[in-house]
Amino acid sequence: MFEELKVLLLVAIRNLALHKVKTLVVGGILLVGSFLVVFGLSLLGSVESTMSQSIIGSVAGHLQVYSSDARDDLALFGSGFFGRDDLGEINKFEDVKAEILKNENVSDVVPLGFENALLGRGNLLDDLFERFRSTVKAGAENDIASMIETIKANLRTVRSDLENEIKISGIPDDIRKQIADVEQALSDDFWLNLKRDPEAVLIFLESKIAPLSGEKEPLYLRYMGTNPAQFAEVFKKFKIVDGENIPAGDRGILLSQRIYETQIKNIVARGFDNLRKGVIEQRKKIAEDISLKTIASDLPKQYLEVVVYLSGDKRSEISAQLKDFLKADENELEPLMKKFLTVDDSNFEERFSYFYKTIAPSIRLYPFKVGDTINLRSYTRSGFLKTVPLKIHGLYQFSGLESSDLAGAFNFVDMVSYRELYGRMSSEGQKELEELRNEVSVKAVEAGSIEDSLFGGDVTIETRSDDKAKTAGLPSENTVLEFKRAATEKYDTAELNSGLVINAAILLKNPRRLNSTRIELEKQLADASMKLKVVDWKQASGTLGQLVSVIRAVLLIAVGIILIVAMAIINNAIMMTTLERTREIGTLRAIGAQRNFILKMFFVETLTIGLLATFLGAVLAVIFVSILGTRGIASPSDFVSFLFGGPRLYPTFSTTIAVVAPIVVAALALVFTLYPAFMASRISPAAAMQDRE
Amino acid sequence: MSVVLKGVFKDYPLGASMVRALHGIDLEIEKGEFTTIAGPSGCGKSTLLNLIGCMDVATTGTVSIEGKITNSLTDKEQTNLRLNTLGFIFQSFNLVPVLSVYQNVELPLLLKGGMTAGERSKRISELLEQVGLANKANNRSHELSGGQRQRVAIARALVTDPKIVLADEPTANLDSETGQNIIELMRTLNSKQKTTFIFSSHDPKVIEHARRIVRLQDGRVIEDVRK
Repeated sequence: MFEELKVLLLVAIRNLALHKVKTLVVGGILLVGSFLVVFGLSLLGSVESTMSQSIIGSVAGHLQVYSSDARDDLALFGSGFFGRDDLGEINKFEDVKAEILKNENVSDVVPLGFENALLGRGNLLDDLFERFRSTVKAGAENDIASMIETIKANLRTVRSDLENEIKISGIPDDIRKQIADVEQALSDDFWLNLKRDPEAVLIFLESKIAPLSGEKEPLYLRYMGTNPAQFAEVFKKFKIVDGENIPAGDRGILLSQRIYETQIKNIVARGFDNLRKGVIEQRKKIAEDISLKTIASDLPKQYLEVVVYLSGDKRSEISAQLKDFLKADENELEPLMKKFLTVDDSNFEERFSYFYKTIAPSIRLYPFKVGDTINLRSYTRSGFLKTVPLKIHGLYQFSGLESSDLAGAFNFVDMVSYRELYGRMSSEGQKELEELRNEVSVKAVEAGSIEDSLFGGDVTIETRSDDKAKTAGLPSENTVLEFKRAATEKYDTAELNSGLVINAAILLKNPRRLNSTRIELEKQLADASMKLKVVDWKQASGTLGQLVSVIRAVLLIAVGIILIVAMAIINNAIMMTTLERTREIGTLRAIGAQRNFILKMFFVETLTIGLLATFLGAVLAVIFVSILGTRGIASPSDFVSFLFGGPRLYPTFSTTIAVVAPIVVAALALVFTLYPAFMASRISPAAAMQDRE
Repeated sequence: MSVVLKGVFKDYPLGASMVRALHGIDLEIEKGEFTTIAGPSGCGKSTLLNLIGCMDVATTGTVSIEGKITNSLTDKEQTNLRLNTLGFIFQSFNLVPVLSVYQNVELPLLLKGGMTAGERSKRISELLEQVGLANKANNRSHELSGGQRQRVAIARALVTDPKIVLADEPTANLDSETGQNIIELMRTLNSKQKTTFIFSSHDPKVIEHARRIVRLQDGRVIEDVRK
């Protein structure tokens, strides 16, 4: 037996050396195949682990629980469809939490609920007129005069825009009427009225002129109701970068730093930021990169977004500085600003630093900042548009995922405010309603009028959805001031962990037992007659969670196809050498080698080259992965950095894969040797007699 | 009797028809005989040798080797018979190219098994000595001349101590002098070890060395003479 193996190995090694081309082809294919499998699976495994950390560590936790009445599946990072998912309700979170905590593998349960809100942004002239209104109220003559100059400068731009529009518009009469309004607002007579009847002037500006600058798109904010203190403690990646977390018992909102920087910031500043990222960080050229080119060509068109904030002394100061900086002939701010914002590869760096050093300090970079109160508007379950004023307590981000839109998709609000936006009253409110009912002996109060009867219409605005258009735009400052009372209203912290939630994140002590714990919990909750679903983080994250499974399937199919093609080539190569070796095999058979000796001879040959090549491939893959593991792979996009769990992926290899994959590939090669080997074993010993000519 | 053929016919399919290679051969070869199967190519020499060598079976008639009728043997039994009872020498030597001289000769012993490395080494050395290649044991076959290769083949054929050695045109690829030497070597070994030698040839110079000449023509024995 041992002697036979010795001969087989000897013959195999000698044959491999003799048929060099075949050996190189077969060995090369197996090496590459094994390399691809080990490398691909290692990379994928690494991405899966970093992605799971991103998902688990940001909002998902290990498991998520939600109502089994839900008509849609829970999709924390979006189901891929717009609109509102019906996830049902968990009405008594305190009971659910207590039940879940009975499981010894559960370390914490965090209440959640997410929804989309609208944040109207008004338009440029709205902003300007709003500031003008407060200036007029304050009554300082000089400020008013310089503000009027700013307004006039902007109106002249609006007029020239309208005059251009008339040439291409199908309804020139309407535009002529609008131009007439602007002309009126530019006239000296118009401004003379300011002293006499300021309200009339302001209303004319706000109602007739403001709409002419076009509405900014409203901002969609995804918000997540939770227990802020608990959330910050449980999700270790969560980090406050400005301000503070929402204090216990306070209402408020934490904005995502990512959203604040990429959606809320002044559009011109964002343009500069995006260009900086492309030109300076990624060393791309504006002239060559389509998206950078688009940003650059949009910049000069957005000059109003800067000049509208410059009035009086600032206006003339910046004009003079720009004229000097640009060495331009113009004196007016508008053409100078347009010129300044026309950037290309040669001047970008200089313009960027000039913008942030000289211009940015004089304009409003963010429409609101930490400490301000914003009005979050959302549709309640009963279809009413509800507005809740919320103080911005701070900005947050998830460590390592700073540049990810997915990780920074949420803005956090306290659960109490969430419930209010959801259309559910706090216990305080319910108590009040109860008292009210008793007082007036009314048992049923119509849903839509509850708040009105409780607080009066000025505290919480409710509007039927078809009235939405009327309330578009940021509510004026006056309204905000009136909201302040509601915004600072305190609540009992116990309310965060009781009452309505939509879903909850479950954190485990031992994540390895994730699946068994999930099954245990489902049974436990069912036994307690709670109609709830428990899903793992992968399922809870929506399409994103399945992404890795999809990539893995695609990779495996691709590798499968490559391997099958490779195996066909191997099969063919062995077949060819079998033909070449007919006489040799015949001789072996003639001198007394049994058929299975011939079979074994082929198998040993394939296994020798196979294991050698595949393990070499695996070793190369391990080395390659290790090198990448120390250097890291730069994420090509912000989306991928979420999968990578940061700006770079540091892949690791799995020993199991590095050992099993080459064996599997070699075994596959063995399978494809079966047929040629079988054919060879059928060669007649008489073939030994056939003479080569 | 070493080899007995009785009424052996052999038909081969050729396309849709059958070609008859052997037409009722009756032949008996005694132990220790040194026999030549002679005749022009296509006369059925190789077919006859294949049948004796258990590489093929007769269409009708019986072939018996050392008293064993081979017609109904399985492939495995035929192989065992080849391994234990027969030795082969081929026209083109058919050494396994990747193995050394020593390893080529060792191969049948390894296939047979049952010997220690020491016993094998002793046996192989003896044989290489006899064929005059004691100093070439570690050479590879392509480093040898044609005559030397055929000597290795002879050593390989004899290493298992077979009862019968079959040689198919053993001198066809050699020049006449070397051919003569090879035949003489075979004769010497034949007389020393009493091994039955059957070889085919169409070379008159080689044929004259044989003790018994069986001439074939068109698949029939036309002459069978003993010297």
